[in-house]
Amino acid sequence: MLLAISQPKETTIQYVYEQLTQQSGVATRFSRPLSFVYTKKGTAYFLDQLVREPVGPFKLARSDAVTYVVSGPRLPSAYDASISALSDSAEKGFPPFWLMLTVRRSTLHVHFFSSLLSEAQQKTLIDNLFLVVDQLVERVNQIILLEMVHKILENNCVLTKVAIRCLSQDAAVPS
Amino acid sequence: MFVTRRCSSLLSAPAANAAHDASDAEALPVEDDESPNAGSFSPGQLACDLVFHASLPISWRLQGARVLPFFASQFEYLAVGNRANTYCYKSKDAIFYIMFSVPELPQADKDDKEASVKSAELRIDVYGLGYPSEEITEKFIQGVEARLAKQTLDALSTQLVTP
Repeated sequence: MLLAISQPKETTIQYVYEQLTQQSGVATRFSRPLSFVYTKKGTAYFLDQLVREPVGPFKLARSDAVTYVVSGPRLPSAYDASISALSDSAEKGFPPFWLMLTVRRSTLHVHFFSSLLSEAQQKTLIDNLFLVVDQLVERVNQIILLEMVHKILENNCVLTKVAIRCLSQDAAVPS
Repeated sequence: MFVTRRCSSLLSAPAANAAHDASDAEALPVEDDESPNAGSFSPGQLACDLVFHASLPISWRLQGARVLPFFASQFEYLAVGNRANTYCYKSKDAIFYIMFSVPELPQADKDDKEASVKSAELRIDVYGLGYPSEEITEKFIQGVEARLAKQTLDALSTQLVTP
């Protein structure tokens, strides 16, 4: 588990990414279209939000070229033959899979590999990921639109601050 | 001069009965040389959740119809240009939009003059991406309450001096 190192080197990430993307039959690939009000700004915000705080049950980190999952949701393991292996890896603090994300041309590409998870668990994991991705896309679009409503000249900001201070003083005056 | 804030119809669909709201300004501008993909969304699809609301009683001495225009003039610096009675407020790095309304009274209350003046209220709905800070839930609401009280006093004074 190369990604189990607390701060993996860029070369390690790059190596894993190459293994996942270039070796045929190693990883499962998924893609999800991302719909932003403004593509460039939306993509930048999306990548930033992905690593800022946990996205649902996922905690992600980013290297130069790729975003990767460093911890994921607890998965039901009753139907999995490798329960002990799963528990071991979870206890050691890293997920029993590799999951790397890239965004190109408004599409999220997911590269996934696990030798421990069952097919059903993999499906649960990916469904979970896409659910939180869709929620995050909506949130990013809302942030962009809210910022646009608020966008004003610097002068207005100063006036607004003065006005808010006056408002607070008004409230302090007994009626 | 204030640069008027404009709200996209994706964030807040224009009111069906407000003709002046449905202007060409609904179109999103070009940002950083990038055209918007507004066509991928329907009006109101990206609306934020209602995260806080407050109701303030309106004194029977104050005509309900005058309350919203009064706050429109008081909060001009926060007003969203293409949405009536909607204001934008940034608090601790989070942006909210706030809608003021005076809900229509039920017909039964309208017929009863006394009931209608007693139950009129100013409703303040706050929309955003998280629960607002005290700056909105307390200070802003107290500010609105104080101005409403002052407006009531002004109305009372006018009534007293006018024969």
